[in-house]
Amino acid sequence: MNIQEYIQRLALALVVIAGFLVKAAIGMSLPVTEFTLDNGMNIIVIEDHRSPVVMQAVVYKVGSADEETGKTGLAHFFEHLMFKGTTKYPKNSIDLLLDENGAERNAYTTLETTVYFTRAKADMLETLMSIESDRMQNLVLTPEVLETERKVVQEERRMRMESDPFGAAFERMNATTFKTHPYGRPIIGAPEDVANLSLDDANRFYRAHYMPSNAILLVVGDVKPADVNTLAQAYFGPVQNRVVATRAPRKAEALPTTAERLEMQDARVTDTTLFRTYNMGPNAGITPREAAANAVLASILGSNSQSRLIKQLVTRDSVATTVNTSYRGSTDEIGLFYVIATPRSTVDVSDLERRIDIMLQDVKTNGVTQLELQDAVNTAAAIDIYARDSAVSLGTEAAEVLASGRDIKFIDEVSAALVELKSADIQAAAQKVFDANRSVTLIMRPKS
Amino acid sequence: MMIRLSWACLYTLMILLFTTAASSAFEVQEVISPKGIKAWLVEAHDIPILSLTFSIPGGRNFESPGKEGAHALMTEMLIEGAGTLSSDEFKAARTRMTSRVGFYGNGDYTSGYLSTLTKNRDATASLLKQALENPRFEEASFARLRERALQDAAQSKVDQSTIAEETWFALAFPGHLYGRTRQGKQESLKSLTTADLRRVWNATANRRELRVAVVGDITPADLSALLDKTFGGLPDQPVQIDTPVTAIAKGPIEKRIAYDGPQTVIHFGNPAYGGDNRKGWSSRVLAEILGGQASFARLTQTLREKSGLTYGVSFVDSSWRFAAVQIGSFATATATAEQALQLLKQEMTTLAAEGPTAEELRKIKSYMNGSYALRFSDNDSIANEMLFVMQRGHDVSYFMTRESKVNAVTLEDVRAAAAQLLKPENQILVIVGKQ
Repeated sequence: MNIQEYIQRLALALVVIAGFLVKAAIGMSLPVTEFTLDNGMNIIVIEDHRSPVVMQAVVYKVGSADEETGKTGLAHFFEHLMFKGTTKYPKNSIDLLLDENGAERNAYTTLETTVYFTRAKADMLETLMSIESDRMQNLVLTPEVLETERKVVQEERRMRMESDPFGAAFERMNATTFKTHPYGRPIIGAPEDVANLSLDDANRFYRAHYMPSNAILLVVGDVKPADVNTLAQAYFGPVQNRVVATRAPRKAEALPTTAERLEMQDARVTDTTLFRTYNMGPNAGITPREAAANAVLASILGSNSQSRLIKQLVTRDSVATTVNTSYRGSTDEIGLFYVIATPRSTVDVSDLERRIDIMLQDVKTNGVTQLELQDAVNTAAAIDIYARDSAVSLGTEAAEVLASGRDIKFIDEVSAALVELKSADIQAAAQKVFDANRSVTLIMRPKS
Repeated sequence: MMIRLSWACLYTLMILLFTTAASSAFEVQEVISPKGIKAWLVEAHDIPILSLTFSIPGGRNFESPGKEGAHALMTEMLIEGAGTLSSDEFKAARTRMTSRVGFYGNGDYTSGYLSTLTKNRDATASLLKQALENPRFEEASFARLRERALQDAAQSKVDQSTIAEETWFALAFPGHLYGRTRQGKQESLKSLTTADLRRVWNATANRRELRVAVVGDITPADLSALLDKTFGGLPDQPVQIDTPVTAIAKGPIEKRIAYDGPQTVIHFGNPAYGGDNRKGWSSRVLAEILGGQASFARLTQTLREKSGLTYGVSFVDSSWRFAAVQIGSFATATATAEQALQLLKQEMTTLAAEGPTAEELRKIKSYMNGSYALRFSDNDSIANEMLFVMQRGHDVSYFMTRESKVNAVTLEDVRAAAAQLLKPENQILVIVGKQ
């Protein structure tokens, strides 16, 4: 994977979290219905009758940030184990049943959530609910299954982190940005922790977090809400909450007071790359207007060919081959702003960094132009319309936002605030974000 | 199927309602413009957006020897200024309209896409028209993009997966277009000029066999006009591509390359049959049984589910214009590379000798038919699948007949395919890792 691909992957994830797209899921013309079962399970139904396909996702309100010290990687490891069979669907039969019907399924783990999703013919919804509700309560794990899957996870880690210099760079950046907060730990886990996770760890994690009151069921596609309700009552309704699910208090992260710099060298890269994060502090009190301003700031600076840094540094001055800025937004506990840039081979990275710093300072001092602001708002509005074509991804993001504990109204408020933004809002955001003392800068160089 | 004639003076229209295994129903309309440009259209007026994708045969075949990478750079340069618009003005117009216009390519086709809000449809199509008819190939943009291409080429030389993949193709297709890297090498990129790129585009630009797939908020009549307006200025001449049809190099070939990393990356492959006939479909079914995406695929079971040796293994059957291959890959820890290799070879040998079981064949057919419906999830994916089907010369009935073609494959067909395609003398294997 090269740096462009990495940026694209990162940018996609971050833009989604920024809230624009999520608003589209809620505010779009496709009908959204919400209800709650007696056991506390939230259900969201988004109707999309364009093709006879359904997507079911279960979003559990547990992620890597909920892991205990010494148990890093457990949320992700457990995600793998959820495919290994239940009392009703023994070993491999879940995969077999889904494959025979041509259904797609996968899962992923984030800092705050674990998401299991399946796409299939719409008439398979009952089967999907039967499987998902059964593995919420009747998962069967054995030592043999655990050991084989541990090897798979270790291979995944080698592939994503140890074989990929950029994966390793992000892991180190995270660990430096968050020194005490669990966000500093890799989602895939530290090698020594993954090597020691036990069957008992897995079973305890399952009992503590996998239950209806700690999950959101999302159904998107060619379905009727009343039918979904009936099926959900039948399959998820009887599932009992074993305990009251809680999220353990997390160690707070003191706001950094000194800029930090890291250097890495790797024989597997041929260009020097600059990675920088700005720790934006806790998101708890962030207003919708601030969240919108942060997202627009990232958009104006480094999201497309007309963005300020790209236009100046890549197109006009030709001192960089890539520049990207992103905002990891309001659904996480702590906000982060990323700047990533690759200088041209004839340009020293320190020169590029100096130019970037001057341009960031300029936004702090002078704000942005009305035209830049209007373009960013127009882009956000257009994304709303394009996004209606992908109800599945929108729905998943909406469920993730809910799972992170944010009120769904906040998302609408961010979107409403977007069109009211003034240049002064963006300038204020820049002044708050671009504090050198809250930054971590990593320079990755080729190793000769 | 029916033919509507009422608008015959404007365009020809054929409508076919096709039904996939999931009973999904899309109305595919074949629109032929007054200038003879052919498009498939799925009308969808519920969201005010449009996705259009198209391809022209050839492109890379026009690269002169030593000029590899010209086609890749050319496709990037088509949107770096066109007609009266500089690179900056072109991109500013595109961004302001929140539209997408771009080009890409492979060994077979030069392709492009457009997506736009309905309100900006004509203006976005006008941008595409200018890019097609009057690309500027400005020196400043060229210098910038070539610099990035040089950086990418340098990175490719040290990237483990890219080394494995490029080596496999170079061994499989020596001297052939498919054996050369599309992005070019540093030496070839350094020799390129804007004149080289212009030459490739001038040779490629042609609407005789242009194929267009469209999904979204447009009527057939409006599309017909849009086709002529956007593509009508391209030359209309016989397509001349002299790329030879080829088979992959005779095996067995096993190449080991030293690489310092925690994993070993393995690429493997053999010929496929290609073609939209029973033999071609038996080849595709075989690849799915051995290493497709279904969890019960043999390589997934052996290398991941039973032994935990890899995070994932893939094996796909690819039919191109000039060759057909089955290619797979996986990564495993250095310490387990030999064990994984032995298991890979065992699985191929066993399948070649015994063929699949009847139960495996039943399950894989069910999987292939069921999963096909999921490819039609949004406008872009529907357009891309339609273009893929058009490129292979099918008519719109393909969407109705695909399932019966899968179902027609017999156990004997797959056994014969396995015995022929998977035999050791057909195998090309590349192993990149600590030796």
